[in-house]
Amino acid sequence: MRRIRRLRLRFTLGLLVAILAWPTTEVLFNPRPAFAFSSGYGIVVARGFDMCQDPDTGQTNAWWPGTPWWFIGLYVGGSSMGCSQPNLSAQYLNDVNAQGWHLGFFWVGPQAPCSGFASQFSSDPGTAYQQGRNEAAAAYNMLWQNLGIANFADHTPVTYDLEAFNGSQCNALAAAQSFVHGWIYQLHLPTPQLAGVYGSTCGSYLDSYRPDPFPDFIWGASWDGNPSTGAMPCVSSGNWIANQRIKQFVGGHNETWNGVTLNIDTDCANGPMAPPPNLTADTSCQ
Amino acid sequence: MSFGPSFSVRPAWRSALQRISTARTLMLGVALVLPLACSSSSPATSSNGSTVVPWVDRQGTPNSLASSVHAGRPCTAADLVIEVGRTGAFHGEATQELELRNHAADACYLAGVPQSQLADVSAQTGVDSGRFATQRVDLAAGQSALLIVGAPVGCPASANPILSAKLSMTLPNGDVMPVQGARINTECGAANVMEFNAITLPPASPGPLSNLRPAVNAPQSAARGTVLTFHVTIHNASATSIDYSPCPSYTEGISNNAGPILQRTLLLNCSAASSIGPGATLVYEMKLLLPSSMSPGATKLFWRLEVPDGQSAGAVISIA
Repeated sequence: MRRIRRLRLRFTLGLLVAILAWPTTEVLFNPRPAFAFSSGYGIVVARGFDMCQDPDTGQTNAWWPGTPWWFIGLYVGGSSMGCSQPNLSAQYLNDVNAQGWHLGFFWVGPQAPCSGFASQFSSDPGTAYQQGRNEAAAAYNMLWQNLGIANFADHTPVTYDLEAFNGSQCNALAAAQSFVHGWIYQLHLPTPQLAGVYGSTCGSYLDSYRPDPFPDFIWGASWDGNPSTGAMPCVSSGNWIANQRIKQFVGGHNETWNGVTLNIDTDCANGPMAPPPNLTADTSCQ
Repeated sequence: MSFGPSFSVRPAWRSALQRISTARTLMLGVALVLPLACSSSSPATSSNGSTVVPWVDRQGTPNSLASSVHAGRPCTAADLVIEVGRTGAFHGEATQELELRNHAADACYLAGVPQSQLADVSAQTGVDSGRFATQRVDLAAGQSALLIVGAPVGCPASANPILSAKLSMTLPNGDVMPVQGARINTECGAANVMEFNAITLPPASPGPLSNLRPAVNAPQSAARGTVLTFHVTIHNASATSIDYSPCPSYTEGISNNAGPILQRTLLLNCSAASSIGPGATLVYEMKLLLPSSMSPGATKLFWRLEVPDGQSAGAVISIA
């Protein structure tokens, strides 16, 4: 009896050691950073900002106290990301979040065909769909592998930056619709992320991505100075109405807070931002 | 809200991997926490978070902000190296990133963005400097400026890019610097400067206290006219012990959309904990009297160590 108990103990200890020592596939192939930014989202109703090159932690520190800003739109990757991002890392996300900020993540991959951008997706809808899926997979890998977002970035919002294009040439609108659907489809595979699309409310045809699956939220650019996310030109008033809108309502300009000047776009959110919890700080954004 | 759309199946290995990963994380957590919990002997330096260093009300000293560089001479071509960076998309324009690095031994300044000409196209050769024409940028030794050149896209019948790879940049002092390897497409209109500013240079020797990473743990809501008690967890992210000598100050405060409400600078309770071990964590109690006159609603709580390159922490609390 005692021998059986000893064997059972040895087996249990051995199993424990084996499990602890066993490098999972993710560790073998994809060593992840040790910092765990929480997955998921909160519904944020507040003002925020974004800028081409993500601000460093000294700047975000200076811009937190005594300012109207509650979230930052961060550019995290993609072939068309306009600025290099020397600050971006898992540690950076954690430090900025620890300062109190909510975060939105932009992915800027290939743009519409015949748009003039250096990196473009195909005018063939089938190819564009697959390219949309590829971009989503790359964005997902960035979020959880490189930036260390916990739980496989489960329900973390990520926004595709699709700049304005001419939809009437090169089959660009049909290709863009197909591309966006590929983006959404891939992000919704388990473990899912929230799929957003950023662009000019009119020039990026945001309202045209409605047939299922449609984006979980939109981040529309309309530099009309009106913070209300309900006021988006070319977007039907009945679409994306359940805390699913973020609006970039002022374009690039300098602002100085606590002695630090940044060239920012001004945004208002009535939609998901990472990580939880919910936050309502500015009802003019509704 | 349809945040749970109809999902297709991602490969089964991923779900299995996630389960293994979660189980492994839990077991590793148990294995790591137990020795930590058993190893702390001094209550003031406990690293398991169960012991809280009490708050003391002692006036502290704000850290003097690092003065920004103010160069005494203009940059010349000999001072600068220009590197071609990313091509991309921003604000509806096709962009070209350029980095201007001061490799001189001392600081210099650019009185405005260098005036650029596209050197290999015949039409629309100028780059509009816009509001950056007179924006002064000071560059310490080794510091860089970020310059983004953009050009409109998406014009009717645009399918024949007019590309320029060469730029000629004239510095405010008159020196001319050639740039090669850029991609600027002027098919739909003239190029313009979209961004011009200095990239922050990391401090040369921030000191060991910059390795302390604070995190705020505050209640989600509080009432006006009461004392807000919250905790700041300070983690020593370095591999060496850090002495609190001299005892560091911190600043705590609250603000809302209308601006700052209150802010005060105090000393950490260094008599209860005079150092923090490598990888260790200390939890400090903090107190703040919430004015009865403040507005209800979402309020920012902020806390920062008053040391060079000191980290900060914050949270949002709902004031009733």
